[in-house]
Amino acid sequence: MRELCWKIGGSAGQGIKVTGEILAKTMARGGWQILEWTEYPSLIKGGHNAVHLRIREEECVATEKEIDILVALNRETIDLHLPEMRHEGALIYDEGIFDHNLNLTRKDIRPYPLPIKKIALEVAGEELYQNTVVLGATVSLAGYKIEPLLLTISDVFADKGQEVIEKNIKAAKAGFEYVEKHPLSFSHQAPYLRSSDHPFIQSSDNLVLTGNEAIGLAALAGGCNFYSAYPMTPSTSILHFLAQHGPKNNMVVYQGEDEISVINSAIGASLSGARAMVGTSGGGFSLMVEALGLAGITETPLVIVSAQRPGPATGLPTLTGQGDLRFVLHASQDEFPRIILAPGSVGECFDLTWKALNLAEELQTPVFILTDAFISEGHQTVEKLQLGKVFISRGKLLTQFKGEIKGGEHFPRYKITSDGISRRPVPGIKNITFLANSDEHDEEGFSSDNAENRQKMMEKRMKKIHYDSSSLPSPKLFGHLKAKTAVISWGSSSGPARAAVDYLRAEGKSINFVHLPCLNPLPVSYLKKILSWSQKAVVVEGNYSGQLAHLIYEKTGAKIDKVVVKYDGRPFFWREVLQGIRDAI
Amino acid sequence: MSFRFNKMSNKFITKIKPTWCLGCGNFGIHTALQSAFEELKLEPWQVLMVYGIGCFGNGSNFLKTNAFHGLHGRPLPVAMGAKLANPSLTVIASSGDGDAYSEGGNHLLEAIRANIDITLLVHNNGMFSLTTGQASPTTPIGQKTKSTPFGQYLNPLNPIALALSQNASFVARGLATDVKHLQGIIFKALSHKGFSLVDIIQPCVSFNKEYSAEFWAKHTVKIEKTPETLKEAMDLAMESKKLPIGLFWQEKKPTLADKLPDYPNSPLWQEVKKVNLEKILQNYH
Repeated sequence: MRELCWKIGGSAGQGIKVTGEILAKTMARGGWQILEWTEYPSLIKGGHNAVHLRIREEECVATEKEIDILVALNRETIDLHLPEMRHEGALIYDEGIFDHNLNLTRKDIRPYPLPIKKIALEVAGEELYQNTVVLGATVSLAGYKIEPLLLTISDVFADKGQEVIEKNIKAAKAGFEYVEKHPLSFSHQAPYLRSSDHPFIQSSDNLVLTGNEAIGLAALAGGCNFYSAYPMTPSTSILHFLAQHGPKNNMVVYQGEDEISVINSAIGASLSGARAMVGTSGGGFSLMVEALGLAGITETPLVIVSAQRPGPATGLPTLTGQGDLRFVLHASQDEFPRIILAPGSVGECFDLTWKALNLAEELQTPVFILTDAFISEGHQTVEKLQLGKVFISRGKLLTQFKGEIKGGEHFPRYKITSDGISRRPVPGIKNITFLANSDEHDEEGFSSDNAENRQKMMEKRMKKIHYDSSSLPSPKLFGHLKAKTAVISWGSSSGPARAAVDYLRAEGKSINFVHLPCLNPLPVSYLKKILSWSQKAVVVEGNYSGQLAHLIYEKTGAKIDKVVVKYDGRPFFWREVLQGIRDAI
Repeated sequence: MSFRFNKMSNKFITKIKPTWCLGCGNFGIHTALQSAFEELKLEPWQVLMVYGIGCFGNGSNFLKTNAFHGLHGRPLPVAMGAKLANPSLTVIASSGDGDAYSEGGNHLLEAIRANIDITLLVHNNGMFSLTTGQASPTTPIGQKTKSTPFGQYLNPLNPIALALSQNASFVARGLATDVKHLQGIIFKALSHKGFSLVDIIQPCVSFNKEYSAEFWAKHTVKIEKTPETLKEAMDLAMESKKLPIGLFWQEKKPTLADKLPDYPNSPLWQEVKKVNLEKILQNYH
């Protein structure tokens, strides 16, 4: 199968991220699948930035460690990433910038000196166009054609005017032609993306999206019309997206003064009948915890996107991890029902977000979308958004009322029902009033510390969710139900875990993979079944202690034989998971 | 003050009997509030009260309107979200000195900056009374409380001066024991388009006996004429001999709803619709 792993490194402010995005879009237009991950420090200028892009003919669910083409815009890139290069991988660097003696510690690498700056100045008159020269050279070195790149450039720079577009096109062509004149011969596999027999589809349905963009899109499609947030990496780009596109579509987008205000204002909006969502990361969510319980006891629908990054406290602000599962599962004093959804891909970010909005209103309780930096900020191709499947369900929302409420009484907002869910009026319905109360309350919302009432109200609320519920997103199985080894994962680790299992299955191993899009409540019966049939159970996740593994044990009693974990702030490379599973079986 | 209830209709009263101490300032505030509702011809279903936590918060059980009883310090953001989601509601945040000036100080600044069209009533008794008497941000220097047995040592907050300094569009102070005067202030606050702060001095008969109804009757003075400049208002706010009560400042300014881009200005529950993404998606190919 044709594929390419490309990386560009330089200092912050050198336009690395946009360069990666243009290449990603170019390849997606050509019908390829991409997965992108950018490492950047919490700085605006200086510091090391690197975009890691994997391009494949088939579905691309995991990052590949071994780099085929490395573009080094500074010396640091070589020092940091040379060890990650594949045998005989190509290293593009500017001979005008570096010393001719590269002093490479690896002799199997193919250095490719490219006069990047010189070409940029020659054809476009400005150093600024260096990155576009690199893009042209990359496409040629990979054996791909230039037309999709030129089209993408025209679209991406459309707002900047014809002159900028033309200069970029010249720079791309010059880079491409330089490589054509100075070919690099490879002994194996390359050229990676040979295009002579690969159809170029100009109007491919492929979208290139980050998880945060997919969440923003699903919020709009799913009728969310109140979004509040306080900036915090890696959730901030949801705010950027919705601030841009929300207001035109009847959405109120509000940047609150702190996360406490953010969640309380969303609860207020939801109380008034808006479809409300908030976005944050672990630190901001820490501030939201008290009001999470407020939404729980007042039975106010709310969707909370928590995009994980390694912590605690400030931790690794721009990197990734999955250390907050137990935190969102248990946050707040005492108990109330909550749902935790964890998308395993950018496409799933879209599907789970509109479903979360429905679940929150149907069950009148908080619903989490738990992502992490890798999936929130990384780009993936999404073949087609399932727009047709989106529907809006508002549960037992009440917007008019014909009955009568006696003087001195309220509408029974917390009426005990068989499913635990009561009718939820909006304020402003003629002749009825209701009281939503954070004190324990009776059916009319009045404060009550009566023992019998408390017991009934706890049971009413807790009854709203239960294990194995068919209305929750179901586990996704890859492979046969009965296999010797069962591998389970969640969130962004599911991609690499699945890639590793696919590889082992191709080798003929009896192994399956289960992705869990819903982590609370867990599909307990299903997991018991899978785990009773397997001889070995492996859980893959991005935290220190194996939080899901322990949770599965707690809920099913089934022992997990091996936990493959990673907690260095980086996403799993699929081969790391492969090694972890091999060690276990 | 219960005689005043008899003069009014009881449509704003629930079946739950108030549990406040006899002589509590909260009675006067609720009476003034109900009278203001009647004067404005508001019905209980047109009003949303958002309560914080404190003795006043228990009022959520006694006053019949739509109501949300939330967390200590947080009535303002809930009220802001509720108002943004339905601009046709009359939204009032009910708070105390601990609630609004201590735990929720950040939200007060934001509400002033936003100039959102809601009213904040602060039941200011200079004390945390529901927790049986600790110093609050408005406790005077030297006053002995359970948490300051050797006397309060922090400067008291001046909420009026604070609000004026941030260009709040409506700033007033009332006295819980002067119900008629307070009713007039609340009427003006509810009629004001924008954020209105009503700081209400109230005695606490159980935990703040030093500052009684009699004390405040002697140590307050009515503002005869609303200041015409911010400087005059600020001078009045800094007055310490006798605490001025009345309207310090009122100004017509754009509200949050006027300032938000493309604000729908209709109840958001009517606006929950699928958005067509076609145009937006063009940017992501």
